Amino acid sequence: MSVLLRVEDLAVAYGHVEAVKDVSFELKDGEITALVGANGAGKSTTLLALSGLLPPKSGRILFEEEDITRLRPHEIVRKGIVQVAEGRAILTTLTVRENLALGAYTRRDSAGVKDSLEQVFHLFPRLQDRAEQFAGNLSGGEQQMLAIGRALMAKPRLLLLDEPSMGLAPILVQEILRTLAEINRTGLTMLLVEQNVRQALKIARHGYVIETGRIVLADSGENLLNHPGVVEAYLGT
Amino acid sequence: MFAQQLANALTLGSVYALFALGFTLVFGVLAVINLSHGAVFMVGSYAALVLVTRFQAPLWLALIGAMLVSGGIGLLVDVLILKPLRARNAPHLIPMIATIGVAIMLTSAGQGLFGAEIHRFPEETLPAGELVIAGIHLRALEIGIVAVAFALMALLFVVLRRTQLGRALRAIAESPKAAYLLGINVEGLFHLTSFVAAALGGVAGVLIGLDFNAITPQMGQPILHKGIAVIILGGMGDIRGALIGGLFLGFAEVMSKAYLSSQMGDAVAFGLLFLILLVRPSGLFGRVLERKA
Repeated sequence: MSVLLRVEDLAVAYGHVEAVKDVSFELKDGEITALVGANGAGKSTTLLALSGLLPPKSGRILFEEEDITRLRPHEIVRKGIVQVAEGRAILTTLTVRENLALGAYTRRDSAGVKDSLEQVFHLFPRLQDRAEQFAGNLSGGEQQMLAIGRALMAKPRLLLLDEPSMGLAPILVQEILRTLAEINRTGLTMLLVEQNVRQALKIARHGYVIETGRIVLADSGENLLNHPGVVEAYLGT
Repeated sequence: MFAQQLANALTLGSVYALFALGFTLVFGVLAVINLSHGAVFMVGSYAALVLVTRFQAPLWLALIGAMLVSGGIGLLVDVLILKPLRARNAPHLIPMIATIGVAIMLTSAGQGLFGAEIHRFPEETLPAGELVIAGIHLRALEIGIVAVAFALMALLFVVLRRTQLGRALRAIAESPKAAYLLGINVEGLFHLTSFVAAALGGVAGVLIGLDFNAITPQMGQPILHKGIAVIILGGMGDIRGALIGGLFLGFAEVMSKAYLSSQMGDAVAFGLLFLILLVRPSGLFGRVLERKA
């Protein structure tokens, strides 16, 4: 499998506090890769840097061998790297349909956008039922579906997911992650950032464990699930 | 007599609404209270005057010219002043103070170029004639002012409600971070919003200049106060609120001048605003909005 995205020695700082230090990892085309770790380990910071919302202090981000480290956020989305932000970041004052329409903001192929909308409604029928409602009136699970559906509307090459399980009931977490695995089978590459380590590693082919801004372990998802250090630190019992 | 006042109030109110619309648009999208909006209004007025008197431009062309000149100033203010402040994450008061500086510079420039005296559009350049409907005398000028103001407002409503551009602007208003992640060129739309808002303010300036046929470098100040009152009354950043609030203020002002006291018109109008805010502190359409990162 070829490498879609390569991160080399990435460092990101908030003022003088270095939140991410010399992080390197790669995402293989068509696979789900998980980036797991405790709260404050630097997972979200890494994603913000990938989307161009936080300028890296040093290091490089290569997408299909092209250096995108200094691109602006909307240019990165145009490259096909789309993020589902933490806390869902749906637009509560817009309707579900308007949110989805904005997901396709960077696209000009209106026929293709229509197809994508049908696919999203097929994947999440509840969004179709509630298309004309304000997104703020959706339940937490529905909002997460909308956030994912909206990202798919961009026809991404790479989907970055920041804590899609956050704040959801366990049954919904299962459903969302199962849906992500299903979407991945269509060939979409994903980087899944999660505190819910067990669930994330279950659907990920590869995993990286990040602690206080550094990658401390890298292996297949399956091996990490059985790794004594991971079991002790994140999986309990 | 009452119907006549109604027509006057509609004319004045529609211009207030147009002015406030640009003001509230900038607040909604950029989260900045742009206190140079009144001075830009004055610039629009003079721009049209110069085009009409010096270049013998017809009124419609002068109106478009005034839009471009005032819009250009709004764009410059955003690029040269507000953008660097955004890049530094300046606290909310800083851009507001900076725009006071812009207002003072523009007003001084107006005084330097044109003097402090009142300028007027030459009588022959104003649309003549009037329409008499059921005993109400409507000046062609008034009809034109109301038509232009409502046409521009309607256009803005349609763009904001029905187009991808409008959805993008509403996305920025709710959460710039979400807008960035959708691939929206947020900085670009900040520039565009600043241009459009100032252009609307400039048109409002031309329309008021025509309605009263009086242009002075200081004319931006009172309308700025009214604009602030209107967008607070309507609910900060709310487009419908600016429309309703502007019309309300126009009516309150004209009616209190006509029936209560010609001296106290503004005092009565602002007193009414104050009373409404006592009942609805977040304005007519206001939601208490805490903007997300």
